[in-house]
Amino acid sequence: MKTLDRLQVRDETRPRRAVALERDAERPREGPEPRKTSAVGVLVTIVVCLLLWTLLASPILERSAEAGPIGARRTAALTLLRPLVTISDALFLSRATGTIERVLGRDPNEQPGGTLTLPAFDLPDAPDGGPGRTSTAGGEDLSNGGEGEGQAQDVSSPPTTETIRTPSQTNKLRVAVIGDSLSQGLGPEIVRWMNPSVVRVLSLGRQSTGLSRMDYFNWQAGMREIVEQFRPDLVFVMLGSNDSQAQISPSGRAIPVGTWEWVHGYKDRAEQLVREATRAGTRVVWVGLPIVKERQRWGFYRSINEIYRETATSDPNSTYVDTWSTFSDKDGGYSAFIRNDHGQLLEVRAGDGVHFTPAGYGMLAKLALRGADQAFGMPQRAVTFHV
Amino acid sequence: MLFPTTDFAIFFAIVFALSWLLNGNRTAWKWFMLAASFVFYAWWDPGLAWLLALVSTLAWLSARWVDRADEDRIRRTRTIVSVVALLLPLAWFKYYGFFALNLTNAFESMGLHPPLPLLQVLLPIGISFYTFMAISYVVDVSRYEILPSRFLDVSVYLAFFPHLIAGPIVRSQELIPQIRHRRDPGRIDVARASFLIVGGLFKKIVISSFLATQMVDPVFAAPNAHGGLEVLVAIYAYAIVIYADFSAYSDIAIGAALLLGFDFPANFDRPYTAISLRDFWRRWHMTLSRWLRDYLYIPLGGSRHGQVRTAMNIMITMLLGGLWHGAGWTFVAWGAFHGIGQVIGRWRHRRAQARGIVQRTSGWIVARKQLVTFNLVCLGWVFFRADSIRDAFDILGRLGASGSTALVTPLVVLTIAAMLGVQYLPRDPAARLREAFGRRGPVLQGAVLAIGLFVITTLGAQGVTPFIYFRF
Repeated sequence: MKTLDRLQVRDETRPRRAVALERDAERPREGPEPRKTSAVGVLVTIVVCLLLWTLLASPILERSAEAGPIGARRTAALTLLRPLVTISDALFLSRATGTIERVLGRDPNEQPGGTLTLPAFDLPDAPDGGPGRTSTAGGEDLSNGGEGEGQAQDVSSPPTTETIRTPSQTNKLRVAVIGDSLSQGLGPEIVRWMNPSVVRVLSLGRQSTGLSRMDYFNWQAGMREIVEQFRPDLVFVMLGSNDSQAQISPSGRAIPVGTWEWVHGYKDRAEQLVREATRAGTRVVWVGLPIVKERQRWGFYRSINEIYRETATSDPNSTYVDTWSTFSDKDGGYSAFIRNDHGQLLEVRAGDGVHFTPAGYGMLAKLALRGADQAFGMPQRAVTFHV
Repeated sequence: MLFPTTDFAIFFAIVFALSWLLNGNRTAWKWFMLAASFVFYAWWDPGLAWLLALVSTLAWLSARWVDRADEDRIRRTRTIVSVVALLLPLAWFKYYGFFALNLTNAFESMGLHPPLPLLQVLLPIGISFYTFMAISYVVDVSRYEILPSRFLDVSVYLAFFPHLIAGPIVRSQELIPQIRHRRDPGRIDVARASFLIVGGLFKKIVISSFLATQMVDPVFAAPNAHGGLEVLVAIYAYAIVIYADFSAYSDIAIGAALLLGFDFPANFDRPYTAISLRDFWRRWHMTLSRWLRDYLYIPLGGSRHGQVRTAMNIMITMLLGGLWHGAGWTFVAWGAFHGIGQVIGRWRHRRAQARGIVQRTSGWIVARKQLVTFNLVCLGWVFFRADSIRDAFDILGRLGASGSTALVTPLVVLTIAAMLGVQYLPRDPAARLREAFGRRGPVLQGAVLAIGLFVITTLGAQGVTPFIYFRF
């Protein structure tokens, strides 16, 4: 029990009915008194722990630092870490920690963004050894004449006579969703709006990825892997929100954003990504970046959307879906609230002004699927919503 | 600043050294700790640090104002005004958007013009926690449980960085005296602190991240693509994810505070061993439970006014407790579920007492109660995790469906089983291990901790997601 004087009463002349007192904050614990250490001893423990951990994890930390955006923080981190990696190498610690990493299931030589691993899928081989394409009008048209939520605003690919094949339970339609964190939200909603009994969707988006930093994660190689292993009928691509940064060339040179070389390189990468899919007969739906809250980003996002549009429309097996205008308000500005099919207002954008709420991702997925339908003819039985 | 980052590790090492260096000069220590805590908070969004300063000032002024009244009636009125004033920022930042959106849709459905503008208000992190602590301080002063403190003491109490973002919700009586008095630099329980911090990092970076990405997120995002077994395991997995995530934050917060010489109350006590929903709330987020009990349930009348009023008080407390977690109907449903569960549990208990039935406590009976309670809690988590009430029912509706079982890997099942099993283990072996660690010298302790952190770094997912309770 403590006494009132510990509470530093400043005005003792005033009446007080008094007084519950502070709980003993240092009450003894049950059981034996634990061994106590001095602050200096703890400081030694902390310093030893941090130094040794930095040394042990220096290869991992170096990979992580290399993945950061080009700038002062990355340079400082690498300047600090490279000597540590050298020390770690000299002491054979890198080799030991590399072995531990392998034992724990991580490849010490993999890209900082990791490698793409496809989840298990149990599907029969697609007809003719490739993604199924038939010229029969197996799909019913989903377009609704331009009304309502999720209506594809701008599908710019040349018309194709071949529709997406009609799937069955024994030969499911194969769909993959790739890209950055926006696609990680889009993927599950594509799953939600497609019929699982006849469609298999792999949501393969990866956070913090894009086309600028192939040294961090290489989507071209990822697409090749997806096409070879999964042989999808349809791939939705949504990325670019992290790409406002310098590209790293294969030789390690930084190419600043905004330069002609950057634009040219970026377009090459986008074209290569589409080509990896379409040359195997896979259709690509490139979902453009939406309007974002921060106006300073508008110019960059619009310019890369234009690259995506040009790239996607130059190949008959790919299409571009505009999302910018769908998620703009009537004055063309940013709005976090949009009406759904029933005229009800929904909060569709996340607080960061870039990502979506679950309701917003749902609308985005419908928009992307309607875009796929307008370009390629989506079989009605493949989706679970009606227009 | 996130706990599991190198930024925080460097920040903490500097703060630790300077905190103990200034320990003898309490005024200097308080200014330093206040500055450090604001740096910690402003790391997220420097633009919102003013809010913490505003709530601190409001709490300090309110307590002084309340304390000047000697007459009960005036004191009570001033307390109510102060609590409302403290709740205003929380109401604006947390509930305005939800309220305005629902009101707009309701008015429009009746053909009326909506009365409020639609705004997306960003929630400042930690506001729910430091607002509740500020209220507890003012109410404690009002109840003569503590005297009004100096501005600096109140500010450090509310801003102290270990608890600032996601608790534990420490009461003024527990923390302010510790802030005032010099901490003993020769009595740091480094073993307990280390186990809490490293264990917390393991739970967050390895366990929670693994189960969330491999099991919970895919299933809850698109339940129609998953079979009943996957959905069931995802629900159990979420129970582990939210426990591992939130208890990890509490453990790291308590461990960090211990290293600075401060004792925080425990926040979790093996919650999935609870034998009833009431018992669950004695073990889960214990500092919120006691806050709700002391500052809401008991002032409402508690169990002092008959069965009906008691049931109402439980329902109000649990509904508001649910709404505290987030502005959404799913949280209201979750609170209502726990409220109804507790009312029924209480009614069954009283009925058994009235009939003279002696509560049996054999192992099997307890095990059955634990099993039922755990499954009820998991049922509640479905509403807590789902994006909408409809989604929650979609998920539950898939429980009987056939379909893929690919996500239910042995590692997922083993991780869930291990995290549940650990809660049933006796505490002694861990205490002995901690004791053995505590007997080692600082260099060896540092080396052991470094290896532990390295394993966590290697096993953990790349990039650290914010703690779930940051949203609340």
